Amino acid sequence: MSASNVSDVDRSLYDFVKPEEGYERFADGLTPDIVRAISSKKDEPDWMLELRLKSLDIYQDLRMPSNWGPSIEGLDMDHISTYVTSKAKQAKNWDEVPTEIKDTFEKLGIPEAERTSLAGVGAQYDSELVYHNMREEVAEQGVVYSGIEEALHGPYEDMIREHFMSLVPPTDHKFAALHGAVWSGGSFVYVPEGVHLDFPLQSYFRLNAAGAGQFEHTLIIVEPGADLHFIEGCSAPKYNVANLHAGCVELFVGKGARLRYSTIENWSKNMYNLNTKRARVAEDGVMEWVSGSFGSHVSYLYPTTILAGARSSCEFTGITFAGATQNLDTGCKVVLAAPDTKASVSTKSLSKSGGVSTFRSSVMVTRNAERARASVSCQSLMLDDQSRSDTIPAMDVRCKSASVGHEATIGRISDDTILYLMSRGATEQEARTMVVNGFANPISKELPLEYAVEMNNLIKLEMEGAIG
Amino acid sequence: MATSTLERLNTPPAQTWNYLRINDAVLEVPAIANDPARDYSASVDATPVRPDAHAGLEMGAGDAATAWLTSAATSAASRHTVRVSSDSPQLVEVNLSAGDVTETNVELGPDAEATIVVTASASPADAPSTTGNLLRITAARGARVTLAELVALPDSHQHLDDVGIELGQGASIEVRQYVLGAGTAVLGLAANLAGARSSLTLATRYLARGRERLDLNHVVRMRGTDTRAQVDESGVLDDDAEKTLRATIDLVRGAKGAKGREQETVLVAGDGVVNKTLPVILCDEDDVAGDHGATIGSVSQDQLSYLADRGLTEEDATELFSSAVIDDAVLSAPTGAFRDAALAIARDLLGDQAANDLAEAEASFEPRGGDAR
Amino acid sequence: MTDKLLDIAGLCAGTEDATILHDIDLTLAPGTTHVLMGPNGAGKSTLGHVIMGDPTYRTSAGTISFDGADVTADTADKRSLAGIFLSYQAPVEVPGVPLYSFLRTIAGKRPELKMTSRQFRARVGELAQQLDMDSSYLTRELNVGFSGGEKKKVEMLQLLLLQPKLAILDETDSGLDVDALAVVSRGIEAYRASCDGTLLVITHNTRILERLDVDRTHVMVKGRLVAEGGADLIPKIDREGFEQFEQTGDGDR
Repeated sequence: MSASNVSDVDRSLYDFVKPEEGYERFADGLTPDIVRAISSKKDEPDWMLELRLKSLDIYQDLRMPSNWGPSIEGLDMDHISTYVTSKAKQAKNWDEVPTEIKDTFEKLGIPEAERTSLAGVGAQYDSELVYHNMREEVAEQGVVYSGIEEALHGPYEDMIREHFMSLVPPTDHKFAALHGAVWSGGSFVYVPEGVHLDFPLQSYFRLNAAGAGQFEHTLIIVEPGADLHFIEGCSAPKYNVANLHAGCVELFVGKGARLRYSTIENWSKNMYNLNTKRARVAEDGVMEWVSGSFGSHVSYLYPTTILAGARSSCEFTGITFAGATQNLDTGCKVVLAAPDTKASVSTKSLSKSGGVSTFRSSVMVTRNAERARASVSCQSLMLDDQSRSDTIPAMDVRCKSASVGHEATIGRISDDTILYLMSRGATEQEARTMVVNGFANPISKELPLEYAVEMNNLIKLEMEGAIG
Repeated sequence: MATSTLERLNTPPAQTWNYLRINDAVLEVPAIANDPARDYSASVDATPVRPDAHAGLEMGAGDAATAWLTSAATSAASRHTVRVSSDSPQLVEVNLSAGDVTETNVELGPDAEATIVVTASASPADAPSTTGNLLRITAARGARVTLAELVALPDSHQHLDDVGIELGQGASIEVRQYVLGAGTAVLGLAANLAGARSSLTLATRYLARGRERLDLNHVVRMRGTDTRAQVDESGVLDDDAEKTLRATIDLVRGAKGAKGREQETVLVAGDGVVNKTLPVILCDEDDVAGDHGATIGSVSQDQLSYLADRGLTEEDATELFSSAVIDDAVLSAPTGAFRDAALAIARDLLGDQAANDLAEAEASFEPRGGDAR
Repeated sequence: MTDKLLDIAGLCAGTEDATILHDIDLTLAPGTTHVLMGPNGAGKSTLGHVIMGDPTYRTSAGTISFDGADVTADTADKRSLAGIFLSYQAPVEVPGVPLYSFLRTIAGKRPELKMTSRQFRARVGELAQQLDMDSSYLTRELNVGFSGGEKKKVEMLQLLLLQPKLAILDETDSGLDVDALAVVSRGIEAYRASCDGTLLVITHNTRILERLDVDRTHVMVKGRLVAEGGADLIPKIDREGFEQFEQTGDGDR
């Protein structure tokens, strides 16, 4: 995606639908039979089927909390198909990808990005990966980047078994259990000790089918001293029926390793995004999250970092833009569970045209986390008087030598600022867009250029949407 | 003695993950033979408490607390309604000894002024008890209220405090709360800034040690235009003390020009401390400013430097912060009962010499704010 | 020994990243009044803080002796009890601590100030009156919400209460308003009158020095003491500025 797109961006960039003809689509709803069918289609080891069935039981037992969070009443699991796939086999070459799917990813700019700035790409279309490829020189260093299903049939089965849903157990919450039962697709990444990737790996998730769910699982293991930047993108066309995304991301950062995980989420506004992301960081490890939430009708998204090793640290940089019909409950969680750990959280949120944005976080400092330091800073911008913005941060501190700071502000763009910019010749619309881009700048700065451009496009789209 | 458990106390308007166990509090209290057909005419005041007079008033500690306090405050002496008009400022004193539970309604007419002082104290010799304070304050246009509360109980006692405040146009209230001791203290305060330009300042200071448990819920609803709220909570947690604070500033749609601010400072001095904080801003209006901040941990570096330059080690500084909470309560005591209750804690924690010093100092300095005595 | 209250020899100090003070030698005799002048950013304030023992700065070479003892390795609280006082340009706010409690605590740490609580209150009341402070300040939180002038009064009150052997007044900021300036001048006078203390005034505002009997004037440029003279150096600086010394500073590099 090039910068020249900025001026003529339109929603059709994301909002196009491809026919589902000739696709395999499992019946709506959730039964042990469907779970068995998914498992058998993937020819999985028995332990995985057991995990799926156990998860299904847990799913049936668990309730969504009734005392907090946006409503998910519009989500009727009896009308969600948990598994939809094209007949295509996973390809290593874009030319082998079916035309209409290839066309989708071309529009999203994925093959181009792969050529210019990525070390490897995975592309998922509905429930299955349609493309996975990595540069040869990266593979030669022992880096593994493949679908989980594929890896389960190879030498990494034991490693996957050891880690899979160990950070996010099915008991975590209702949609983690659902994920455990029907997960499909996603990526497995293994970076051996000391290996530094010069370019990011990227997985892109596209949900094309109406009334379907996407449940990809991303499992990343970064061994001691290694360094990886992983990018996740997602989008879907808009339908009148609810779609569901209940993915799961589990990240293991080894001693002295570093992992940056960047996401630009742009699901369509009929999506229920109930995603769970969690990282565990060993001694001296560094975890960095960059997270932009623009899409979805309802989101529950709180990437979690467990600083388990001494001197490990994390940074979370996030932005959420809630426009018309959106209720986005986003934020993060950090557990500082070892001495000299450090966490820094900085988020921005915007609310507009009746959108509801909630920043929700928790910072926990355990008894043994001596000298731990955490700071949370959260700014919210109200763009009109129809919208809503809530800030709900929780802190639990149990260590005497730790220090935790938190600050949050909510307000609107000052009239003076708008007047100043208008007095220099900007229209009011341009002035407001300028201020909002400035507000978002600390986040776009953290993104690779092409994603920063995409984010600015999305902001521009949102800002203009209100006028029309 | 039969007990009952009050659940879902101090529940904030917006909640969060239940596994954090921060969303509400629970308190075991003496069981009350609940009489729904209570005879309100038994009230001591010439203007009896009307059951519906405050029906819409939001209370800080929640329904279970309000119901229990209402049914526990049965004696005539324990229920008061005070009407204050602009021609006679009033001091309303509520002094609670071991086991006392009172219900007090203060209604201020236009431009009226009142000082309300609530003191809960008991002697270690008293049998373990629960003191309770149910307090409703409605202030009409331009009225001014000062509320000072002190909880100074031995840790064999507990305290339940349930306050609801409503402010009319231009009305203001200044609240100072001191919690210096109690096995368990649950204090909830809700303020409805309904009138344009009404304002609230709330300062809560606490000192918790041993295995004391402190649970605070502050809810400020900013409904009127150009309303102001400034909320400060600060304190010292020592030993194995546990504290939970929920502080909510709710900027309601229509509250154009409202500004709300909340700030918490916690000094963690003990190895077994549990400190939980849920500072919330709810915002449904764009022409407002809301912010909150929290600083949790040890004494800040610049304060430590300043104090070191005047001869204090870090340990001295921490001690100073602890004793200062008590000093502050004594030095700003608005009534004799308030002062004596704070001095009893000073005697217990700082020793007779320091307590006597404080008593004399208090007598010789002008008190901060208006003198209610 | 008695002719050197403070003796700084070959002192180099700075932050982790950079040395700010270079090879400082400075001796202050008991009962004398010194002025430390220099342009903005010369390191004057840093020297005051290094003498006090501010942990922000690291001493990489040299020694600081005070009252016959090497205090180079001592923490600020020890130096304070030994008799060094540094008044802040911008005193720190300490919420929750009444001024009275603070004063009682810092006085209580010094055996030489042992007094009954009645004597203490009388003493503090007297000083407050001398500084034109209402006694209601004593129940207010230390420096919280105080104006610039009020904060200065609190600093001077501490100076007069503690009667340190050496008072370093950091008044670098020329933006000091007229009220605050008067407070500081009055504090200095009272301090000099009440005990035969040694004074080091850090400033580039010569107005503050008008009513002061200065024994020695020191000039700092770029972290070095580049000139020293009597009180007559002050009007010269007032007329000609620091440029004459700045070249000296350049020559040193």
